[in-house]
Amino acid sequence: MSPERTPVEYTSVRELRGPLIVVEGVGGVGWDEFATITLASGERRHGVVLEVRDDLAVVEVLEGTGGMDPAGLRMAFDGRPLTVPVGEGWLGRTCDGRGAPRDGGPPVFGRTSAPVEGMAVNPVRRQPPGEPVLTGIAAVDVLTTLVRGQKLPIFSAAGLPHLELAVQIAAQATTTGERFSVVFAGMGLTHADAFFVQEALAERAAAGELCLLLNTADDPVIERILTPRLALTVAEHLAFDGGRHVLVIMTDMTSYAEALREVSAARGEVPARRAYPGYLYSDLASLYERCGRIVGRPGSVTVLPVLTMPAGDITHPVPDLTGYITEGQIVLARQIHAEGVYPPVDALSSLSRLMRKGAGLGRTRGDHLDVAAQLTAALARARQAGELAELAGESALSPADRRYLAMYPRYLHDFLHQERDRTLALDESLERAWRVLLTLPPGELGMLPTALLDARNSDGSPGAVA
Amino acid sequence: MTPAQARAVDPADPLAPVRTALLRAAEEEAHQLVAAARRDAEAVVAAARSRSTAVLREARRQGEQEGGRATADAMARTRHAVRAGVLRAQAEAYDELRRTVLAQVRLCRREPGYPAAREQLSDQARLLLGPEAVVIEHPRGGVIGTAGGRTVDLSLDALALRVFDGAGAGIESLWRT
Amino acid sequence: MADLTAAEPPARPVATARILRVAGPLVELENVGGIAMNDLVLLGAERVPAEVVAITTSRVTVQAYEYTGGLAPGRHGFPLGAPVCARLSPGLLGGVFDGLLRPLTDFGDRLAPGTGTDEPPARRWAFDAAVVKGQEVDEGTVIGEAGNPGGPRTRILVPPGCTGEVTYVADSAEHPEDTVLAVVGGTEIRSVTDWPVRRPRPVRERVPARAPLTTGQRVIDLLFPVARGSTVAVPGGFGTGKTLLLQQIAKWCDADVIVYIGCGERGNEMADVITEFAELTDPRTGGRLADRTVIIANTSNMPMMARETSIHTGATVAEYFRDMGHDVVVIADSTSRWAEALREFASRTGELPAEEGYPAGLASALAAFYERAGAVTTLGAGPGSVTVLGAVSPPGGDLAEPVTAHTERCVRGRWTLDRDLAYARHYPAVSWSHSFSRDTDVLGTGRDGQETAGRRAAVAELLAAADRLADLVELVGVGALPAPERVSVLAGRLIREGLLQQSALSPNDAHCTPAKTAALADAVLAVIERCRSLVASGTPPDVVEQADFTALLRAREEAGPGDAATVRAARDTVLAVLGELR
Repeated sequence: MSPERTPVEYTSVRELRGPLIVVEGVGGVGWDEFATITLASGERRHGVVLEVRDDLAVVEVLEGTGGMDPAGLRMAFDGRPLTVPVGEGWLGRTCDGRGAPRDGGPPVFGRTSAPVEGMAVNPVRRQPPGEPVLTGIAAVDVLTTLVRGQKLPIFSAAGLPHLELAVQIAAQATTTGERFSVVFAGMGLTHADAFFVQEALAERAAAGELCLLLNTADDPVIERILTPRLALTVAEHLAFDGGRHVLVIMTDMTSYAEALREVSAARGEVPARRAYPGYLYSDLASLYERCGRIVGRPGSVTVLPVLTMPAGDITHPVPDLTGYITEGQIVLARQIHAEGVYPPVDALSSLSRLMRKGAGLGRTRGDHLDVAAQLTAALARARQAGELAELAGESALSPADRRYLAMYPRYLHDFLHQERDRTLALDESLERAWRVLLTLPPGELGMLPTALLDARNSDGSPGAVA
Repeated sequence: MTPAQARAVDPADPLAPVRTALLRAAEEEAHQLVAAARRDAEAVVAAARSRSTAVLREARRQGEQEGGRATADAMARTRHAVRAGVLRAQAEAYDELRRTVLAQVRLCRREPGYPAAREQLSDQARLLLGPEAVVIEHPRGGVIGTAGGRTVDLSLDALALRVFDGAGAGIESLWRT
Repeated sequence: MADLTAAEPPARPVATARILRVAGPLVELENVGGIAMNDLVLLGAERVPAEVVAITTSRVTVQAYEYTGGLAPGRHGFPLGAPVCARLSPGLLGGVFDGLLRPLTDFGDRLAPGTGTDEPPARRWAFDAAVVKGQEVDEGTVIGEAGNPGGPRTRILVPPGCTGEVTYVADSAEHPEDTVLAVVGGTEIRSVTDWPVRRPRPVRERVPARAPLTTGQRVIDLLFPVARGSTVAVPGGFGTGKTLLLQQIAKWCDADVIVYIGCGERGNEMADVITEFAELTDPRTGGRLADRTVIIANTSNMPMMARETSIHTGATVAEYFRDMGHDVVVIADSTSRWAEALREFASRTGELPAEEGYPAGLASALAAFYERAGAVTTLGAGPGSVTVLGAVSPPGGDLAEPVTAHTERCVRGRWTLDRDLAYARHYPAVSWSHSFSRDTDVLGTGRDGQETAGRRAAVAELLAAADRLADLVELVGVGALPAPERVSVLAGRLIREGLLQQSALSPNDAHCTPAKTAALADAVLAVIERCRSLVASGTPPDVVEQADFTALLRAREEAGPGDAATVRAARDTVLAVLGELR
């Protein structure tokens, strides 16, 4: 055991304002150091140094300054930025947004600790992603394949089942045959939602494959800014030191961005679009970019952020900046939800930019990319036909367009829709896609290799039936 | 504190009694604590198992398809209960160990070496805060130093908890072995 | 965080100044004199690089290029007495660098602050002399070439402001990087040279840009061409394929050197560029594409302030190769992220914000960057050029936002990427109605130029006509239009699908020579003309619409990048099909 450090604590508080404490008389305190604040009552809070000037330190308090009395307050500085223990101790645990237990267990320990801000991966040491994560959701696996090391967000809107989808993916996702873990970071969840998440993921937690970090809507706002960083720090070590493929689900990033806006306003920073801070892009990137693979190391970090578009507006800064950073998006649509279809994925607005690298022969299945391309093209045609039918009546449609129009409900109910507790194997999902496609005349399936098509039609699979 | 300062007080090592106390607690009582924690966890597991057997029996009486689902639910509930029980037992072991360490370290005051250790702690307080520091003894042992807007807590409680909190993964090994 | 008290004096400091304030990248030091604007200062024991941005009588403000965690008042900064420089050397081609032009291969898996300032491994280059002792030379004269044996070669020039007699030349052999290769008029010339990133390198004179840069993308080369030495902004919302288009141009355009600046963009994307360029073959030289490329990677999670320098560093590298007589293309993806770094730092210094929080100096900062482009006569009296292509990422696709608005005033071309086209999987999604090129006039001279201008006018006119009819078609269906208008709608479709669309994934279609572009345009125009005359002579429009145009639409995929004959054959096939309709 090494000698423990004795911190000097500072007691001269010059100012308390919003989440900030200004302490004077400090020496040798560096920017971005972590601070521990002890109140007269013995209560402990935590903070981060925002600025040091001469003998003044400005500290932002994670738990907020509510109820603080400058008298009797003591502040100690850590000599290093905020670090957390990392390792397998997190698996099977449920904690709050700062990593304190919510499951009745002891604190989480680790043999090593790591700074929560992480360190940028050297671009020349990045290994381009190339294998899939299978989610067991037909729409995702077939049409927008999630690739290990990718960042792929779910764009949703209030009232849509994005949390259900995120939780279902967290419960089901696998990387066949390789060690896999999920880190789930909930930000600004209602207590009802937090309860739902815990219940639905209990099994995966019990199996020691899940770390659950839950920040509820009534938890301190600054804690919400810490939650995804904690999740990613835990994930990075499980992945790159523990050799696991780790899926990090972060929901809801809009709550996160609102917390960032609130804190930025409290700091008195110059606002940019819609009062969000000008560094929103860089801040989001500092989270999303922590995904990836590293040359010569096992494991991967895949990031699946979930965000709600305020008023369904995709040009709102949060989805807009997210879209600039991530490698595609999975969009949920209200019209599809209204049809009672789950998950209501709008395949035409959705895209996985890395799919081409993570799907196909040797990765998923030889016919995967062709089937996906053909199904997307068919959907685009079906949508056009639908729009024309609405304007000019169904009689104005060509015979081919009518076949597309008839295909659409089959797509919704026989391909897209699945039970909330049903895991679809990739083969099953692809078969569903084939069955929908084969309702079209063979002449319309030009993107599918002829050999495949002939095999399907001759072996008694459902042929070109209207 | 900078590493340079840490090195300066290293030879004196005023934390030695604390460390001895912690080690004693760990060696003498840890085994008992862990055994108790294990017994607790095993009891919870056993109770959960017997509950699940009852549920399973109940499920078999119901129709086969419905029973399949009921069985799965029961198994999930069981696993969940077992897991919660184990965590609770670990937390209890952790808290108990912490209490024991504090109790042990307070006993240091009665040891013959304590006055010398207290003097070393006072010296360290002055080293950290400067010669003008006011140093007083803490009611439960150790000292508190103050100077201007600065203070150092060198009470035995604080020293013990600092060592305890720093032990992290070592404590975890109590229920890993 | 390392121990910042164990201060080991850095290389060549001219002074030591106490740190007074640290707020993220903004650091203030006491003014100890001898410090100039834009000077490099190393902070703390970790030697975090920083640049001087403001000086008062008592204080010096610097912006740090790396993480400043742990820096505290009372620690020291070490001014180096020289501005922030890029180290230009034969190691640039085929390399990947950070915003301060430090090779990223010298770093580990993760970018820890300060590590880049360690002494780099000693590099050696094979030198071939081109001058002899006693020769009189002028600034810009090539004294030889250096590089890895078998790898790309870089010319070593007599530096600006240096003339006289060659009094020493090194042997044509392998030498360490810092060896003196020649002495001219008392000045020692090495294979490496440092140049301040914010100072444009001198030229003999600027000349008008007249020669076209072939990008290999038909929609650009045909409709919105760019001259060597010109500037283009590429605005596009997310998902419009901006990065893919720029990567295609980086791969296939006919420049000598490409400087690709990934500024605040995705890490996986940079990894892709790096691996892909190393594998691809340059169709013009048969060498690796990577060997004509310099990559500056400053991904969005790397320190924000280094993004600000990366743009200037890239321009400096481009000028370095231009001075050797090369045509250089700088691709900056994305200038919006660079502008955000400007905004971020301005807000920390308390500068009064203008639109959307950007500093008032945004417009002049953008103009200063784009003005580093140009066609020139180099100091060595040869031609050279720097062409700048800057991506713009308008928030919410709003083209009226400050960065887009200021940029389009200082560029000669704009390729606007359209969300609707991208949504319809029409790639490259360059909008023909919202893009422009001011280079068309200077490029429209000479026989080739005039022919191209003629095609451009014809295609643009047909596209405009089809666009005008598009809304009407949606409302009433194409069947309700008069016959000539129905041909216009058909013409729009043939141009879009047979000429403008281009598949980045197809080996035949990924890039296109001017000959194939011309052949495709001529083929499509000829077919449209035949359709028009058929309808004019009474053939029912639906018969024409339902004719088999497959050969024409597939020609771009069937014909290789330079294969005009296959295109002409496809045209003849379709003309024959139409002939039978009579």
